[in-house]
Amino acid sequence: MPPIKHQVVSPSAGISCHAWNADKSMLALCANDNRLQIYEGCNSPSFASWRLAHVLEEHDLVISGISWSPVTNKIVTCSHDRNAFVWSYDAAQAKWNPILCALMLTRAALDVHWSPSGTKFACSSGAKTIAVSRLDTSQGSDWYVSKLIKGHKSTVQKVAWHPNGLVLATACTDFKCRVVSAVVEEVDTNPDPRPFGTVKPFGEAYHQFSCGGWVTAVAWSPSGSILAYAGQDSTIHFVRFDPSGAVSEQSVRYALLPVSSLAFLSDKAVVGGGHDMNPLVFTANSSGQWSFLRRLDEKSTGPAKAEGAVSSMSAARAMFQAKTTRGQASSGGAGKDLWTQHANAIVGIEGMGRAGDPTCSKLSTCGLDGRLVVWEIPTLDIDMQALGL
Amino acid sequence: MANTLRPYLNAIRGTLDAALCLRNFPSQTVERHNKPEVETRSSKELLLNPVTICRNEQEKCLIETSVNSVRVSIAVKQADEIETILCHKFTSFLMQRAEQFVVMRRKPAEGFDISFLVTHSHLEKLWKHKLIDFIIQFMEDIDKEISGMKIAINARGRIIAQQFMLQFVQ
Repeated sequence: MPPIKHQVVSPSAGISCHAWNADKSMLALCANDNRLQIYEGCNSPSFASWRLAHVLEEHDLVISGISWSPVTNKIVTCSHDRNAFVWSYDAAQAKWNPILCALMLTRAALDVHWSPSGTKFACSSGAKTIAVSRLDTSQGSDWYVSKLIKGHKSTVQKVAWHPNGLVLATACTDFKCRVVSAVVEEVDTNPDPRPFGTVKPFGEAYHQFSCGGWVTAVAWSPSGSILAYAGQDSTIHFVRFDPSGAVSEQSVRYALLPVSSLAFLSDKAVVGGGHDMNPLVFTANSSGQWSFLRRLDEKSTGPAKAEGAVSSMSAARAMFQAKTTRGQASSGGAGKDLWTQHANAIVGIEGMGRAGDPTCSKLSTCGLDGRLVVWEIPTLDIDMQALGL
Repeated sequence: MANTLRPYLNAIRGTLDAALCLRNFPSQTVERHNKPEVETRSSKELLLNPVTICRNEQEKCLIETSVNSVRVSIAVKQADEIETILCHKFTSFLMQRAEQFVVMRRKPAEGFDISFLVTHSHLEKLWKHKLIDFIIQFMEDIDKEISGMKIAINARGRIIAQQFMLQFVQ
C-alpha cells in the first residue's frame, strides 16, 4: 500500500513546517507565508474531509517553526520576523489567542520546540543564539520571558530536547553539533540529569561534535541514549551516551543527497528526510552499529511495466507533446519524471506515535511541493524487526 | 567533439544536482533580510568551495555554492574574433532580458560570459530537475546558436562578395 499523500497547499507555495496535536486529529502548518493554518479532522485518510478551521495571522514574515505541546495543548510558532507567539485555545470562544514572547533575538528565529513537559520552549535563531522561554507569572503577569544560550559561531538551524527536558542538542552552520544545558530553575524543580551525570548551569556545553559540513538536523532517540545529527556532506552521525558516562561516536556516509530533518522511530531506527525527496532509513544492528538501510519508498516496478506496453503511435505522440510543452525532444539524464511521493525537498518530519508509546510506527513529512505525506511504516513492506518496532 | 561535450555536461549536471541542496536561510548580519549568501559573502562559513569544470581552456563552468544560493557562471567557446563578437552580442541581448529567464544574472561573473543565480526561492517554485535541464540545455544551445550565426555570417559574406564581384565580370 502506498503512503497517503495530501496536496495540502499549492505546489508553488510549499509547506515550511508542520505539527500535530496530541491525538493527531489536528494539524498546524505554514504554507511558506506568515499565516498559521490549523486543520481539523486530520485522522481521516481523505483530504476532502479535512477542514481548515483557523487561519492565524500575527507574524510578519514566513513562519519557520511550529511546535504543538501534547501536554498543555499550546502551539508555539516562530518566524523570520524574530518573534514567537504562544497560541492557547479558548474553547468558549472557539478561537486561538496569541501571547507574544520576549525572545530577545536580534535575527530571524528558525526552529522552535516545546520541552517534553511543555513548561518551556527553545527557539534557535540566526543571531547565533538560542532563546529558552518559560511562562512568567511571578508578578501577576502572563507572558513568556527568555534566557539566551550563547557560544555558537554561526546560525543555529535546529534544536532538539533531550527526553529529560534539561539538555538541548543544537545543529549549527559552524560545522558543529553541541549538547548544552537548558536547565531553568523556575520550572525544573527536581532535575534528573541522566545520562549526563551532573546538572550543569544554564547554557554550559556538555559536548561538542564536529561534522564535515553544516549540521542540518538533530534528534534524540526515545530513550535519550542516542543523539543523531546530519550534515550537509551527506553524513549522519550517531553519538551513544552510556549510563556509565562513556560517549561513543559513529559516522555513516551515504551516497544520496543530504537530509535536513530527522526523526527516530525507535532506539534502533531513524528516518531522515531532505533533498533526496524520499525519506531515508538508518538502523542499528544488535551490536549498536548504524548503517543505511533503504529509502522509505522504493520504486514500484508494476506500473512502469504497464506503461512500457504503449503502442509506438502513442510513444511518438508523447514525444511530440514533450517537444511542444518543454521545447525539447526528451529530457534525458536526471530529467526523467519523478516517481517519489514528494516532488521537491522534504523540509520536516514529525513522528505520529501514540501518546505514551516511545516508539512510533507512523510519521508525516512535509515538503516544498506543498504535500504532506503520511507514512504507515508497517504497510511499506519493510523489516519491522530491523526497525526495533 | 560531441564525445567530449557529453561528459562535460554530465559533470555539470551532477555537480548542480549536489550543489542545489539549498535551504531557506535568513541573513545573520542584517535582521529581516534574506539575501543570497553567494553574492553578499557576509560569512565565510556559509560558502562552500567553488568548483570549476573545464572542457578546454576557453569553455568552462564555475559553480559557486552557498547555504541558500548557487551561482553558475559559463564561459562560452570563442575560437576567433567573429565568435567573440557574436558571443558578446548574444549574451548581452539575453542578459538585458534577464528577468524573463528567472534565474539569469544581469551581469556575468568576472572572467565569464554569462551567469545564473539560483536561490532557495527559485527552488521552491521550480522543479529542480527541470531547472538543471534548463541550464544544460542553455549551454548546448548557446554553442549551437553561435556556430549557426557564424556560418550564416560566412555564407552572407560569400554571397555579398559574389554580388560585388559580378560587376567586374563581363
